[in-house]
Amino acid sequence: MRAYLEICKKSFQERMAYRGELLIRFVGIFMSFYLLYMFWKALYANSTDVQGISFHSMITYTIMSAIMGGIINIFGILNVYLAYWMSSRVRTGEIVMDMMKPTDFQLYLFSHSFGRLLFNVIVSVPIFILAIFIFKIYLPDSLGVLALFAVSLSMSYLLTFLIDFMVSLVSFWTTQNQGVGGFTRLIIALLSGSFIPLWFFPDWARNVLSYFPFASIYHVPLSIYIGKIKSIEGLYAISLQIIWIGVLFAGSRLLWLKSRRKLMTHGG
Amino acid sequence: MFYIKLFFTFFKLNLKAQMEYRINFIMSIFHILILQLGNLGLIWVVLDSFQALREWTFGEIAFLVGLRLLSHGLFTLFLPEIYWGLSNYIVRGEFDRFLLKPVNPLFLLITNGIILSGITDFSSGIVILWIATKSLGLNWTFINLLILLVVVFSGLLIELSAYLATSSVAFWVTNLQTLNFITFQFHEQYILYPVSIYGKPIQYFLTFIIPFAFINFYPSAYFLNKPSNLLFHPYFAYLTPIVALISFGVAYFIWKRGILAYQSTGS
Repeated sequence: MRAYLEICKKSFQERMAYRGELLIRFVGIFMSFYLLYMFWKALYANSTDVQGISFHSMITYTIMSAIMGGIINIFGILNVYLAYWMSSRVRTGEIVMDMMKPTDFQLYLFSHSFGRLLFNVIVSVPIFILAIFIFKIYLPDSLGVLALFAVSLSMSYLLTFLIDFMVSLVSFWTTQNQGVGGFTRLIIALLSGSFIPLWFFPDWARNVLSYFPFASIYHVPLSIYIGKIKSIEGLYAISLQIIWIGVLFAGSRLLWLKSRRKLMTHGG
Repeated sequence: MFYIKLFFTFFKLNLKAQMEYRINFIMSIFHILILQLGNLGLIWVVLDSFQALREWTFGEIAFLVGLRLLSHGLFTLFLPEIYWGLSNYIVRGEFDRFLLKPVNPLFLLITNGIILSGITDFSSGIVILWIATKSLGLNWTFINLLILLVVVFSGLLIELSAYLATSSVAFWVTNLQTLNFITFQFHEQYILYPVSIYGKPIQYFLTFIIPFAFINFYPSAYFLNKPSNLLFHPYFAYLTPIVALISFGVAYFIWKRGILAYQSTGS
């Protein structure tokens, strides 16, 4: 346990060293906020309520989505960091050193990712406060809703981590996997409700998407936050998130075992 | 004439270098196709509920997106080096190499690499323009196709000038990621939608300072017969080629001054 905490601390400090990049991140994120704001303002020019959602709720949804993306996209918007790291470790053979360590490999990467998560959370606090003043996004109705949102957001983080981890393992077969990593992120961005909430999607598309974990990543926590999904429904949506985490966790362990065996047969 | 021959020689060399990474190229084809068509799909989904973005329908926004992709595809294919390139060359001290040759250093810089996936950007631009044409029932006359060709190449020149001007600042300050990034955001995201949805300051900025609005917004006003009150002046719909030449002139001037400043420091 101490080892994992140490890894977590290390990766947090590593991020602190890149404070200089924060300026770009702030500029970038506020430029996107402005764009999102004007985009939805233009759409709402002729209507006050669409699908039961006011302009105010929609702005809160979309800006919270961008803030949330900054928190849970641990390995960069395109997931290239983890994918790149893994593929270069596999290519050079350094991956063997990681596997020989007396730590669980997945847990090792998780601790690393968790350190980055803490950094992201701290950075997003001033962004969140500024967004409240500039774009008038609102806080949830009650503390209960806020707690439910926090739980759901944590689940989104776990889901994102598991997906990133599984994608990075592809490098055991292809050695090049940045393409696959970026591709997965793209699909998630399009289908998880991160830009456009899923309630605007046609029914058939929503039906298809209910068989995938995408909605659990953005749509669920954000809908809870703005109050579109209420109490019992929210608990139901969170249990679905947990089921997906279980499925993906089992899948990732299985894939990890296979990757190890793949490496062994190559005499690595 | 000499430059044209040189351009094709460099292009062939770059193409050979790119062919080394065939799998990356194939992946990027899928990535870009899904990215562009997926984003368009999302716009379609929203406009199904909202009907219009101000006065702009789905087909008209598709037209904006497609027009931008045509010139951007050519830019990515032929001239991507100007993008993040210059400050890297300067930091690594490789820029001096360009100054030693009997050829214009700007020419050497911009022909120093290609990104093959520009072909995919360009092709998805054609597909999206086709979607726009179908959705709006546009008639492409021969004259309009000629004008489209001029507009696309002018758009290419505007994009080149914007990145040339911002990158040239690298001669004075070496770390200009933020400045480049802002330019990038405007070009990559803001002009995907009609610039009339933004506040006046941004509209002025995209018209007079970094004239990205002339890549797709103003020319679409011509092609789509948008009411002239959307624009600062109805004539702006025809100004794209002139704006392209002026911006290249200004960018080239900054570049020239930059080289002078760079040489006089004696590095």
